[in-house]
Amino acid sequence: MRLLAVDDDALILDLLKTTLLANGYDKVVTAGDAKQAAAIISGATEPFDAFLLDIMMPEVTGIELARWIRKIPQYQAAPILMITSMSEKTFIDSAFKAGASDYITKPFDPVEVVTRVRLAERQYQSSRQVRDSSLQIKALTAQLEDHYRAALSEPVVLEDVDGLIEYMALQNYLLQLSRGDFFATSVLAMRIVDVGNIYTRCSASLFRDILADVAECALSALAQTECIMAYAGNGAFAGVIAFPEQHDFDEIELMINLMIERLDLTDDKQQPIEVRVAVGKPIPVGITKSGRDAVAKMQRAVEDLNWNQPKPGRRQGRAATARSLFSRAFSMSF
Amino acid sequence: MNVMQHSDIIARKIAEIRPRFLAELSVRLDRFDVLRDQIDTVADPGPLLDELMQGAHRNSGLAATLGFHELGQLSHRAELAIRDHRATARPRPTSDLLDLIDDLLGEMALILQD
Repeated sequence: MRLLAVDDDALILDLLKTTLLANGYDKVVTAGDAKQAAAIISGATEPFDAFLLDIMMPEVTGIELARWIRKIPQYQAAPILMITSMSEKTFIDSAFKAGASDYITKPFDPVEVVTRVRLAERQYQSSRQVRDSSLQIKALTAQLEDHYRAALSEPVVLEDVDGLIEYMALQNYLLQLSRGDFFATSVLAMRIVDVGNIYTRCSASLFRDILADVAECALSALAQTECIMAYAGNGAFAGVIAFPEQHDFDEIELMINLMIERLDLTDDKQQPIEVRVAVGKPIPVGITKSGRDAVAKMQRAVEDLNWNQPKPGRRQGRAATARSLFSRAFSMSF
Repeated sequence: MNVMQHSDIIARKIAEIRPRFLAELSVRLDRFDVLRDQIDTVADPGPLLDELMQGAHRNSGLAATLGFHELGQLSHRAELAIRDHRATARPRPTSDLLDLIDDLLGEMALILQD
């Protein structure tokens, strides 16, 4: 354990060092004032594990030094023991507020010093174990993420998105509809353009977050419709919608893309990532023999969407209309 | 290294430090005598009291550890009393405070005499 002891009394430092050395602490560095201590800390090639600081020192006090040490990221959890003959509460309170972990009172009792340093050592070791465990957990999480990274085609469940249901549930919903319901029902598909590129650039969790963001934007834009939506895999969303003729889906597409644009999405390296959605035309279910036919129609709608081709000219030409709609719907200004 | 060896090492160090402490105490006593004399004559004894407080603080850090318990206690009391006095607006020290400082000087002299 590497210790830095700071006191303006050379005799105390001498006794302190001897006491610590006699008890197995052979890496004790000493400083006669706060400025010297700061220089030693700044220039240390091997970091210190704990600090012993006298409170009453000329110019810069031990309390100010403790505060300065705590601002150094690697010493945020390092034990800082204050050495003080001031048993008054105000000094001790200030020391703890500045980041002290414990204090040793003068007159200097070698047994007490060693006891306190041992306690600090235990505290240091347990905090290091927590830090090491946390690093191990991070590494394991990364491994798990790689291991369980869903295939792009998998219709993963986006649990945090209100109003989005599972793809299987959407298919079941269609299977449950009566023939009469099919007349007024259409299936709808939308897909993230160039989703393969986004999937490659993002971690599994970030990719899920992007899917969730897109789903939320789509659900917001479709809020005025009676649409039930699910994630179908491959960056595609499927929906079942009643009376689609009452809505302009080109405008809905623009609204979704404007909302996504405002999210300023980035990849894992914080580089901007372009996420855009293409919305297909609603396909009426019409006359079908069974719900299975309706499900097949929805799957075709998802598969048939012209995935990677943006619609040239539409975006800019209708942006003003979409912005106006968007502002009206969400009371936002551009 | 067992507990006895630890104690021996520390006891040897204390024995080594003791004469150094006494040497410093002697210098400090000379300075304290000067300061004490000036307190009665200067218009603002504040800076003199501050210096006495710092010296008392130095005494109290090690005195008891080196076996000078009475000196340690007196120094600590004097340090606190001067700090309390300096926190007030009163320019001149009270007679109680001056008595305490005199007691401290007396104890320092006694130790050095021995």
